Amino acid sequence: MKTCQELRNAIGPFVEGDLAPADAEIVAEHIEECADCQAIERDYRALAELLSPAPHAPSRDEDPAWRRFDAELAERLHHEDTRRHGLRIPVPLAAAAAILLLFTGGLSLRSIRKNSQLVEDNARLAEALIQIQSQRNVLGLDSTRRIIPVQRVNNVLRPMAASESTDGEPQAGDTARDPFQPKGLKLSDAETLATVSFTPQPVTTPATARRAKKKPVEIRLINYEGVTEPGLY
Amino acid sequence: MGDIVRLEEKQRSTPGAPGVESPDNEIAALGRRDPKRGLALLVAKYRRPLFRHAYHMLRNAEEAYETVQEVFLRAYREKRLFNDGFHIKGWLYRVTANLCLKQIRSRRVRSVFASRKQAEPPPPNDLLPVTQAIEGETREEIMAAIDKLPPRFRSLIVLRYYDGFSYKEIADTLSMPIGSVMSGLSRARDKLRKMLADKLQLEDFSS
Repeated sequence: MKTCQELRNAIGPFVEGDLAPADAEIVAEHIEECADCQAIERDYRALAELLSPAPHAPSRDEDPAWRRFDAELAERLHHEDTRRHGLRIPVPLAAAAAILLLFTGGLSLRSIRKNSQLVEDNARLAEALIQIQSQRNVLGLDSTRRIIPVQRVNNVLRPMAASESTDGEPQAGDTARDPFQPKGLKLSDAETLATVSFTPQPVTTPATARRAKKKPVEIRLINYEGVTEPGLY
Repeated sequence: MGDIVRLEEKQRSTPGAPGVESPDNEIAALGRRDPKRGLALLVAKYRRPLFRHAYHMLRNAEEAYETVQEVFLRAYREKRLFNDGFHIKGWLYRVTANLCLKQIRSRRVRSVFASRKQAEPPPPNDLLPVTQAIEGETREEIMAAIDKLPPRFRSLIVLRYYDGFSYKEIADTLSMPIGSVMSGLSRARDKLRKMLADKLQLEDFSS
């Protein structure tokens, strides 16, 4: 025979119909005989009533707040991708660079500066893309696209090839290559898929925020052959 | 006209394609082929209920919003997410519940340094259920009572009553033995019973 105290934990599940029939019978019998437990049962029923969740409005995914949620998430996921693809400066390298900077005054750090420029440009590019996509109710359900690393030439962001070593004018017939090209995918062509002008908005990292200028920049997107599945690139 | 015909053909051509309403295992199967599409579906399916959970735990819409963003960011990093047999819903709620508890703890630490209580911004209406089962004052009182519960108990009450979890699901989500869930809920109910004594009498009287 279980004691009153032992059975008390079961009154909640009993009220909510979560007990097996045999157990429910035991609890019901006890409640019949015990005034304290009757009071508890009564209150728990009232409590369950009070706590019953509100009926939900039908899902309204077009709500601006949820669009903002999706767009912001897409942006964060993109930053995550950028980070994963190794565009950040690795910690040991950064430490070495800092030490080097002490001795050289930063004169020999062209490549590192270029790297951080790349991160910055990608961040701006991602942001522009999110702006474009958010107009189409994103989580990017229309994309055969992928953002590729770029560099700024005359204030135009231009796809950067893996082997590119100097900052020069874009050459005629210059083919865009993507150093982070996914395995097994071929660029369908080097032409730009879209050219969009935008005015950079305030961005999250202090470095980019400082450097964001209010000039329109061209954004170029690259198409992959045979990639038709949507995704968050 | 032509567009409509094409659309119908397109829909027919992918009869079994998982959507937002699909069970998690179907979304997972898609996620194994295309993680980003799988994640997009999970976001569309779970952002609302997770936000509701976080909001009931934190009672601050901005914090709840940030918490749910973080949950999906972690989901994106989680390598096992779409594995066969991985319990997606349980994982999402577990991460949400833990982040909420962590957030509440960090508030306490902050409040040592800044004790002034900030006015809580009203929740964005479009993120919360439009119709409420219980009207204004009573609802506020219930919310206030739940707020006074220790965070662990609050988790239990929110999962049980607002998220409609079974005892087993709560036990899995919070990584607790089912016996502890039962006794914890029992103690939480008792606390609420004491705090809401007036309301309960009234409720009882009316029924």
